[in-house]
Order: sequence, then structure tokens, then C-alpha cells
Amino acid sequence: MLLEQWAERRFGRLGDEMRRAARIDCSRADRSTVRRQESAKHVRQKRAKRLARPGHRWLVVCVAMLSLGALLAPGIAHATAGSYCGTKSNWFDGYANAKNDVWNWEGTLANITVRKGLVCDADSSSANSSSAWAMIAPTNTTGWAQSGYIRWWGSSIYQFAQHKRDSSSGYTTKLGSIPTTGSTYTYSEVSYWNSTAGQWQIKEMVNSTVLQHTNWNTFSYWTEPFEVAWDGETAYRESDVPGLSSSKAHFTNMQVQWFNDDKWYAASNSTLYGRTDSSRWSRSSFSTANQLFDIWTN
Amino acid sequence: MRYRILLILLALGVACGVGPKPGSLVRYNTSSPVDVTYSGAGTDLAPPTTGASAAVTPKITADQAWQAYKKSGVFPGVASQAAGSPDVSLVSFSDNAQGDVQADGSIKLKFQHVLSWAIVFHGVPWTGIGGPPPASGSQTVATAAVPEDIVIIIDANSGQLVSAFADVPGAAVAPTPVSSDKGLPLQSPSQAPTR
Repeated sequence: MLLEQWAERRFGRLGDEMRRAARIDCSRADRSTVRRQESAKHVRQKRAKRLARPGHRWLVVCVAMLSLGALLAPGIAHATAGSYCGTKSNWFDGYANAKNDVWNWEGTLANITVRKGLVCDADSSSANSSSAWAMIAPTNTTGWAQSGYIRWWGSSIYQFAQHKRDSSSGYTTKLGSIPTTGSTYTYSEVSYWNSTAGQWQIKEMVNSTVLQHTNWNTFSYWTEPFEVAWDGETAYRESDVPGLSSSKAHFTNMQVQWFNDDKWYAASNSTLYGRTDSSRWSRSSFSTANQLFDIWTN
Repeated sequence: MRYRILLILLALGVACGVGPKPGSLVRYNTSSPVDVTYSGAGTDLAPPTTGASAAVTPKITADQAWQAYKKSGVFPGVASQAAGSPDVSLVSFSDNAQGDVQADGSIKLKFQHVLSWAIVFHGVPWTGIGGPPPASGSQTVATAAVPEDIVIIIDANSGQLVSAFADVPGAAVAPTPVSSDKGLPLQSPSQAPTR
């Protein structure tokens, strides 16, 4: 840990990935460092001998590697998330239907494989996250309902759901359990008639679990056409969307719920458009035959 | 010599109070029982005597609950954004929305009257996670912040994270009387999708 702390002081905060590498690869050097700190006198007397020690060689190698990594990290276009965070916004990697889509979708679902998305280090707040989700949203106001998975700087991955009625309401967000990385879950926003409340609402679900539901009448506040979207998202383009080229985040079984009969239909690519907001990320073409695509960080 | 130095360092550490001090990084208020509804999230924080099935004596302390929250990593950094110190109080926690759909379509609620420590950060400028992507060819726009409560629920007996959510406290929006008719569709029913 001493080496890691020194490197962070010297070069700024390290990316998640680099920090992990420092912990693993430099543990031998750390142990040597701690031993040396136990006796400064001993160190002075044996300085010449210690230069030949394996631990010292490890320290030199690790410091050199960390220095090189820290210097290169901001400039590497195709690397895992590093220390630098650029412009904060909402950055996407995935597909959505056009806002002028004449089909009246009222719900959506997708199976998404859980992958870890590393985030840049300069912002360790809850504003800095990496997520993947399915969403339905109106086009007449700023609102949406979504479910998926998310992680923040230093956190585990959590299932989550979020909805916002319109521009004057809050962002109601709820976390669920910790999913298994590499497993696939069904994330769905399901339109249903709540007979108790006497209104149409949307359930935000993970598999057969409802995390939360909207509490307003969908068709009073939202006018059609609705937008459906399946995306990976980060707050910074320097963060990673879930998935790597060797272990991509798969979106499969994408479906839409039709306004007219509340039934589910396979999504088509006839009105979908793709969006990839960072050159560090990739997105495969949408397969109409199987309703699937992949996203990953290069 | 080596051991002597270690002993001196240990003594200095004890004298200076070095070591884990739960709750020392952020000062929080151990408040009296609360009774708050978060209608958007469908959750309710009630005084622990109300409906709590178990004894109201928690097995873990507020400090231990705080440490469990820090360990979970959820909603990081909100302590520095909140309006004032967070409140930590013993509550009976119910989530009237979260549950598993049963074969008959009903929902079996997962959390009802769970004796919990509620850690509440008030007035956090929360921007959510995102929102829909902009129209094709348009630039992304950062979402505007809304002051909300960030609430962390820690089981007062097991110390496990039960729930975490962000919402504006208060009652539900009064439902607009509507029929089950959604209104006129944009697309004629005769033009059923072939997809």
C-alpha cells in the first residue's frame, strides 16, 4: 500500500485498474519497503547490500511501471479508465428508436449481461458511474423509467431502477441486490393498469422482481410516441462502459410492449439508431434476426 | 532495537488515537425516530415500535451501521454534498413497491417492518443516473440537479444493506381520475406491427 500511496501522491489518483495492478504486482516490493522502514539505521548500514536484493529490484521495476503508466494514462485512447475525467454529461453507447417513431411503444425489455465498467478517478462522487439499462421515455417532456445495473467509483455492481415523471419532478432511484458478474438478467419496464390507484403505471423490473413503479398516470403526463432505449452509459467519456473486447456486454432478446394490446413484440432495427459517444467504446450492429447487439470498451 | 522502535510507534499511535474510529470522518446526528414516506420509491420509515416484529433493541450500533454503509460503496461522496449532517435513526423500514411477482400476478413484498438503521442525507443535489439519449445527431445534455434525500437502510440485526434509494420525501401525487382507456393511439389498430 505504501508504494500505491506514494504513486498516487506523485502522479495523482490512479485508475481502478492501475491501482489493482499496483496492489498485486508490487506486494513484494511493499513488504520489502515495510521491512526497511522498521529500522532506518539498519537501512543505512546495509544500503550497498540491499541494492542487490530482489525486493529492491521489484520496487524499482514497479515504480518505473507506475510512473510510465501514470504519465501515459490520460493520453491513451484505448485503455481502461484512468485518472483523468473530462467533461461531465450523460454519454451513451447503444440503441434507441427515433423520437418520431409512429409505433406506440409503452414498455420495453432486454436481457443484459453484467460486466464491470471501470470509472475515471478524478471524480469519486455518486455522479461518476458506469451503467447498462433498458428504458422507456416520453418525447413531450423530460421523463423516463429504466432498470439495469450500475457501479460507482470503488463500489460493487448493483441492480437499479430509476424514474422521473417530468422536468419538475425528482429522480427517484432505488438500488437492488448485487448481481453476478457474467450472468444475464432481464431488465424490463412494463406498462400495467393499477386498479387500486386507478391509473396506468410502469413497473421497473429485474427478472421477476419489481424494484419500484411509477406513481402517476402514464398517459396523463406522457404523450406518445414514446422512446425506447437500450444503452451503456457513463458520466465521463474517460470511464468505461460495461464490457471489454474479451468479455462484451450482450444485449439480447430486446422487445417492446405495444400500446394497443399491451403485448410484447420483438424489436426491429427499422427505426433504431445507434449512438457511441466515445472513441474508447464500441457497439456492434443490431441483429434484427436475433434482436441483439454488444457494447464494450476497447 | 527494531522491537523497541515498534513499541514506541505503537505507544504513539495509541496516544494519538490512531486506529478505526467509526463515524469519525463524518459527523452525523443520531436522531429520534422518524415517520417519513417516500412515495416515489414506495418506501416508508416509521418509528420502530410501529409494526416491528422483533424486539426494538438492535444488535448493531449506529456506528456499525455507518461503517456498513461506507463499506457498501453505494452513493459515494454524498456526505459532502448534503445540506447538513446526515441523520441516523432506528426505524421500521417497509418497501411497498419492491417484491417478487407471483404466478397469479400478485407481488410478494420483500421488506416489511424491518428493524433498520436509516442513514438519511438531506438535500443532496441529485442528478440521477442519466435519462434517454438525445435524438440522433444531437449533443448530450447534462441533467439538472434536484435536491433529494439519499437514504441508506442497514438491517439493525444483521448489519446487511437492505436498501438504498434517492427520492423527494413526501406524499404521493394525487392520482388523476382516468379510465383504463389510454386515449387514441397514433397508429391504427388495423396496422398491427409485424415485428
